[in-house]
Amino acid sequence: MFNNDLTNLTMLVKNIESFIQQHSENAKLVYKVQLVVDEIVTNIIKYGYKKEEENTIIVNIRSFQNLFTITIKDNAKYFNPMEHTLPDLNKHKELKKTGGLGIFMTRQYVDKLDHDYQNGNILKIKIYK
Amino acid sequence: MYTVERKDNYVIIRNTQNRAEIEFNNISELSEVLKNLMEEGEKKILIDFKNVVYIDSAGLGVLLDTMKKLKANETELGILSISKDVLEVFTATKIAQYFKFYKNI
Repeated sequence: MFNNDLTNLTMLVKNIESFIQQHSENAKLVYKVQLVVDEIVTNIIKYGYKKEEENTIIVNIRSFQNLFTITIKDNAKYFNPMEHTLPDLNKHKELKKTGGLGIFMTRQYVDKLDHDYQNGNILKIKIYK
Repeated sequence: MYTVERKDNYVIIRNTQNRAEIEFNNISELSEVLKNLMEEGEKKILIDFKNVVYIDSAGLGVLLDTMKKLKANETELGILSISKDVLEVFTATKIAQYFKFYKNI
């Protein structure tokens, strides 16, 4: 659990990295999970909340035998990454809008992503080991 | 922190950290170096990724944006000594097609 401040994000990503390293020796997997959490949380901080508001984002990561599950909860406005149109790389303006490239990267790297909205967004992600 | 050096016809940008991460929090540093080299009229720019262990979408976005500006100016922007894991981010996002990759020069 941490506040919606980008300076806290670096610490979160480092914690994720060390958690994954404890449960997998696959460097590629460490990179994948780290990047997915980084991109989603950055998007929530940048686009989900007003800058002056202090809010909480909850990131829960669990390791199972063959997969990692990641749950990310916020109380920001509705945003479902799966409904997001993928950007046209030739039009960079599209990439700057609502973190188009970050969402695109996330969708490339997750094996499953479910979205629900109950007073905030709940993202349930699966990444297989 | 970045250093800039010349080799043959190329200008090479290098990150001085051992395990460098190019991300939202620090992308303005690289962006500034690239902007200065563009303004100086450099025609062949290489970014050395040897020490780069991580790049996020903000980093890729700046590189893509710079690449487009440079291309319009007939300037080449290449990536040098990239690791397999970081290269995969470029290929997964289909951004690799916009860059030339060099093992070494």
